[in-house]
Amino acid sequence: MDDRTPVIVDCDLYTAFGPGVEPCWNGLLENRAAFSDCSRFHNEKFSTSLAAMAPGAEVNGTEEIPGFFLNYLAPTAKRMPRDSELFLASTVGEIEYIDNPAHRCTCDMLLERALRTCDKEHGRIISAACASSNSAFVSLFHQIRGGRLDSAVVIGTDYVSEFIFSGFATLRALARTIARPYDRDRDGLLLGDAASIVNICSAKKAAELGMKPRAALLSGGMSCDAVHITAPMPHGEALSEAICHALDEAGLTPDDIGAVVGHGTGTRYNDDMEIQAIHRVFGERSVPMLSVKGACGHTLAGAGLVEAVVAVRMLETGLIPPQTSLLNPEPGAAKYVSAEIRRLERPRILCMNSGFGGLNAVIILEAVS
Amino acid sequence: MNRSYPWHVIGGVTAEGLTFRTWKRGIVVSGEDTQDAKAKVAAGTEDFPHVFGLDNFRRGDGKVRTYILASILAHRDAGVDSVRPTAIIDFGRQGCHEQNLDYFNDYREHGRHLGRGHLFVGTLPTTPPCEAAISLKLTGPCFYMDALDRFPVLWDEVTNFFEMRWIERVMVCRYTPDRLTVLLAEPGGTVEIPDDSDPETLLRRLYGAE
Repeated sequence: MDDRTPVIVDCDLYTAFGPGVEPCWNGLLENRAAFSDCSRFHNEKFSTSLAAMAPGAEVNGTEEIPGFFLNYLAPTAKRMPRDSELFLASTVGEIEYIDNPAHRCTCDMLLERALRTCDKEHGRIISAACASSNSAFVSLFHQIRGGRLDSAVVIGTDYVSEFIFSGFATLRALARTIARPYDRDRDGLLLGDAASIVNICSAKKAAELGMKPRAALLSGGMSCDAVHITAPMPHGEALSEAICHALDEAGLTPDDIGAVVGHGTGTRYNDDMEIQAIHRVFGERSVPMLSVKGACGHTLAGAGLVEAVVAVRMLETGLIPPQTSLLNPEPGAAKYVSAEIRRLERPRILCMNSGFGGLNAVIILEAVS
Repeated sequence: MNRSYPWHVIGGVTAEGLTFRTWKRGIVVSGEDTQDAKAKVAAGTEDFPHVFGLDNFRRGDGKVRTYILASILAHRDAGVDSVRPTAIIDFGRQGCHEQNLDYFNDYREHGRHLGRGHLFVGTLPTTPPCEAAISLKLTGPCFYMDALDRFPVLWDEVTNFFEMRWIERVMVCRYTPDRLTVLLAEPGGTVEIPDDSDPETLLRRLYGAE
């Protein structure tokens, strides 16, 4: 690690397990799923009523969820200097305002709100569908490595709304039963709320601020399938290229990776593609793999942030949580996933996301001693 | 204030409605509708070594179609095909407000039962550049960024992409309510850019008036 290595110095989460990292981490270790009936809108016409909703988030209706989340994250954001760049990963921003003609419901409105709430001077939205968070990480990785940025606050948030729920129902992507990533009998994804934050800066800046690094961001890679607007590349070629770019950037080989936190939505197409991509890169090696979406739901643009925070806990504890709700692993995934807690044998974790448009973004995190 | 960036511009196009004007070669394509514009763009690119995939052109809305045609013309303006590893950054303020309304109003008018998939997919800011990526087989990174019009953030991001050593070209898109500008850049050389310069202003400064 050198002065310009980006290091994570702080992180927090608000998921369906409640506020804080530990409730989510413990839920994962205990193989619990946090889905319940969603009563935010009429859902009887959809194939499921289940979603992973953050308790306490609905104070005055769903329109206030983004503000509630930002207020929760603000104290962590304010621990960073005011001139830290705020990276906001979101797909549709404050979409529940769509019923309010006086309010634009684009991501920029949420960014301006986030800057005020978190007391930051400058910020940017990075939107790359469900790969938004990791795309933000890759962008800031190069900014910090290149000396153009010292510190950043990364926030990822999306929430269960009628807009999003109906859209995924339209695409027939929602599970009829429960989300079972990498399971032979999986039948779709379930949506979830999440608000996540990671404070990150150069190792030199962390020392100046007196902040203790919790993990290092070693590298990132991105690619686009350029094949189909919703379906992933069947054999995962572009995702495997993004992984290889990240490994090359960090000067690592697949053998250096201790575990993979996959995108693992629980849809047939996504999980098949990921399994093939992992096989292309790791060959016959049984690299441990898990997806948090069987527990927290698919949190869209926020997914990568949730996964990065979980990866930090994996690096700190040396534990790999079980794959939530796994019963019968997909044959190609059987050597990667497990319903049991495992030991993290090597101190680096590959986190990967894929989104509509064929977008892939991966990062590699490393433990710091 | 001017800043210096370690790359150079190789061409670009601005579309106003259905009139496309390239900056370097002065090519003008004007269509009566998007299909007409597509036919004219395709006719003008017959001598290209790379065949542009326009099979799915019809599935996108007008915005998507404009992105696809402008992206093709930007390559034609630069005199390059699209086989090099190319990243895309779409830098805007618009998001997908109109597309959000299109999807949700349609869903509401049909009894809040099921919406239409293609309208829902259109609610992602990355759908237009991704459709362009599919048409041109651009397999590099791609994302939408809104930095509240701080243009140095955009130009720094182009530098970011070139620091990923395998990226050989970057396509910058800038959509506003009345126009779309697409610019192509390659690594090497330097370009001086004023902090308040958007892609169209940069192209005008480099290549003169439209």
